[in-house]
Amino acid sequence: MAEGPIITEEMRKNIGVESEPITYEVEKGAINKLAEAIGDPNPLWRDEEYAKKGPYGGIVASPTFVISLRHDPFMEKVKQMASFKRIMNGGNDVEYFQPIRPGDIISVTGKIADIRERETKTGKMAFLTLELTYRNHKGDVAAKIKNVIIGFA
Amino acid sequence: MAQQLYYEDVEVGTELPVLVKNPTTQQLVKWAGASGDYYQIHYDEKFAISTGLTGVIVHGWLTASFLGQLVTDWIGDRSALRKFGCSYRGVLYPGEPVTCKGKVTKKYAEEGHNFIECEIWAENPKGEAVVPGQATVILPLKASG
Repeated sequence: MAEGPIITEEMRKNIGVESEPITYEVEKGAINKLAEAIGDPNPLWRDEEYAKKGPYGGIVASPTFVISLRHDPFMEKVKQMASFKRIMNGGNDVEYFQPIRPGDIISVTGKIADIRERETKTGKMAFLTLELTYRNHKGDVAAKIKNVIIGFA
Repeated sequence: MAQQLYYEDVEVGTELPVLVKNPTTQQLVKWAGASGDYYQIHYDEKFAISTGLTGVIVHGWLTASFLGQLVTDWIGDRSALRKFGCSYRGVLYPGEPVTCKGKVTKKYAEEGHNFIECEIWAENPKGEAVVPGQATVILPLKASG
C-alpha cells in the first residue's frame, strides 16, 4: 500500500488546465452503430426519412453518443500522473446544449476539475472529477461531461 | 416513433414506462466497438476474474445508455434532454435482465421552458438499484401544439 499521498503534486498543478483538443467529424454511420449497440430502435437516431420530418430536420445523436468521441491521450495522461492500482468509474453527469448531427465537427477537450482524497479502512482512495467539453464547428458547446473516477492506492 | 409527451401530462410522482434490457456478451462487444471502450473486464472473462470480479460486467456507459433510452422513449421527439447522469454503485452482468425505471420528482417553468426532473435507475435481477441517476428534460406544452 502506498504510504505517501496518492494525489501527486503534478495532478494538483493540472487542476483546471485544459488539454489540447481532439477533433472528430461526426458520421451518420457511427450514430447508427452506437444506437444499434444499445438496442435503441428510436428512428430519430437511425432513420433519415423519418427524422427529416422531426424537430431537427434530420437524424441526431442519441444521448450517450458523445462518449464515443473519446479523448484517450487526456485519459492516459491522467492515469500516468496518478499511481492508482485500480480505477473505477464512479459516475457521469452530462449536460446537453446543442444537438449533435452528422457532419458536425466536434472538438473535445479535457481537464481535471477537482481532486479529493479519502482514507478508508482498506486504504486511500482518490476521487477525480474530470470534465470533458464538446464544442461544435459553430463554436457552441454542444455537451459537457463530468466524470468521477475513483482511484485506489 | 415514441408518442409525444406534454408538460401537462406529467405530475410529480408520475412513473416512466419500465424498460427491460437483456444485455448479452455479444452486445458488450458491439458496445465496445461502437464506443471505443476496450477495457478487458467487459469481454475477457479471465481478465475480469483476475481483477476480483466474478465474470465480465456490463459497461457503465452501456447501462447509462439504457437509461438514456428509458428517458428519450418516454419524452418523444419534440422534447429535449437537458441533463442526464448516473452513478455506478454495483455491477451488472450480461445474461441477466437490467430493468430501467424512473419517477418524476420536480416540475417547473423557468426562462420560458417547462422542465421536468426525474430520478432514474437501473435494477439488477434482485431489484437493487445499482445504477441510480437523474435526468432533466424540457417538454412542450399542449397549448403550443
